[in-house]
Amino acid sequence: MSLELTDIPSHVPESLVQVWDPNAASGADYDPHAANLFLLDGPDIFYSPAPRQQGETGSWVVTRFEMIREIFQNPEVFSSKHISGFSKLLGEEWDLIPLEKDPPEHAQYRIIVNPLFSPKRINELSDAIRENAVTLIEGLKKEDSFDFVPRFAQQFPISVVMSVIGLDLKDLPTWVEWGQGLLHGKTLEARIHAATEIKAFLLKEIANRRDTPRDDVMSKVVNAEIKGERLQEIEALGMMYLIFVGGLDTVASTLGFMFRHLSTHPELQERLRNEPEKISDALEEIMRAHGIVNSPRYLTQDTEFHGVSFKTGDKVVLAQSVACRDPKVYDHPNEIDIDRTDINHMIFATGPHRCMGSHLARREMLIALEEWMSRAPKFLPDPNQKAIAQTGGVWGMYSLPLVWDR
Amino acid sequence: MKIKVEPGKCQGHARCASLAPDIFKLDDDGYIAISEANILPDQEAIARRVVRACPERALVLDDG
Repeated sequence: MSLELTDIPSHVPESLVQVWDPNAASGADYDPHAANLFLLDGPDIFYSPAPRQQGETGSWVVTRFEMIREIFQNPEVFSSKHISGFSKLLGEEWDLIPLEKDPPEHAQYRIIVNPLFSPKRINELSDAIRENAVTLIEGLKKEDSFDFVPRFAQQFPISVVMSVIGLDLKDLPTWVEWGQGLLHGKTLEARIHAATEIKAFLLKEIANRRDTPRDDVMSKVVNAEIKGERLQEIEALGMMYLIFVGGLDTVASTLGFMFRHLSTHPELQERLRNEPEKISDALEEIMRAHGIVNSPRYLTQDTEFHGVSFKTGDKVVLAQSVACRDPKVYDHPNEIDIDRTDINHMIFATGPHRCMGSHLARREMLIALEEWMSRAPKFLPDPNQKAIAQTGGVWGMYSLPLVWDR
Repeated sequence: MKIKVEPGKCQGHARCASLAPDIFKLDDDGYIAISEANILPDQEAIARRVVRACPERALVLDDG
């Protein structure tokens, strides 16, 4: 589906206008990263009148690694206020917290969530995460073929996050459906419907835990205090909405790309089975090459940036998905090379908005790889079915049919 | 050789502690808990790798 182009602001020079629709590039329905690499042959910065999704505006697009790092590390000029657009879908104005709060206000919220997702806390959760992965893998081993996306990529991280938050796992299919609607909905109506349902669900769960706190992440978040005052309901909603969205589609999407690569590279599977100490490097390297989010920012002031004039209010999309393959930063950037010693990526962003779930995400994926490599036979693409990728708010695999090779 | 941590730059990625847990200690929230570290000769290779791996470029090698 092609999206209607939006108006180009008058200060944008015609020479910098280029329509970018990540889904339109040839081959994007299987490998959107390869299909969109042409951006790295083009200008460092350009203006695309194509919205990422219906209901959004066009934007500047920054494609180079070091420029993106510079923007992430400068939140005073490049604000993340309003970047998700979720409350706007509902005709409302509240922030996803802490993501849509700028410093210095940002820090007082970040202090609340940091301990809930710290490396130390994630260590304590590891055994339960591993048990969850093992159960799913052992179940799949009883079958001949399966779609990796619903059966593992979604099931595994979403059930982990739901347990951590403190939600009933029976709602998992509903969560998956809402996430798909919110982040990949084909129409504006579908996205609004999902945004409405998620909000209503979270408000009900928040109210329960404000009345009667339990021993779960949601209770800790919604009853947290700033300067002695309990969070307002709208702040609690903003924080839980972010945890919901962050935990829903991100690890699932990355696992999809990771297992697509492994399924088409059985020699890498073999190596990781023989050298499990390389799994962590493999994880970082496959993540590097498969960024799933291209974060937006808004200009808080008129700024000259590497020869381009940005105006207050301009939107800038940071093309992390391709920038982590910038040839100025990496040798043979399009090869998955787990022996690199210079892996340094921005898949979790940099700067104060570094993904607060990054430690949980990494641990989930590390455990998934360890358990697949140690207890599953070799797996290959199902020759009778097509793997399908999707772009949108989060890039991911929509379907990844696999078969065992045994 | 020493590694210095640039004040205020750490954003808690914890890549350093993941690659070289003996050298880089984190606080309870996962942010760097040291301001500099002495690197022993047999730690130099991993220390150089950690400096490159920091997404914030918060670590600086001091060969002097």
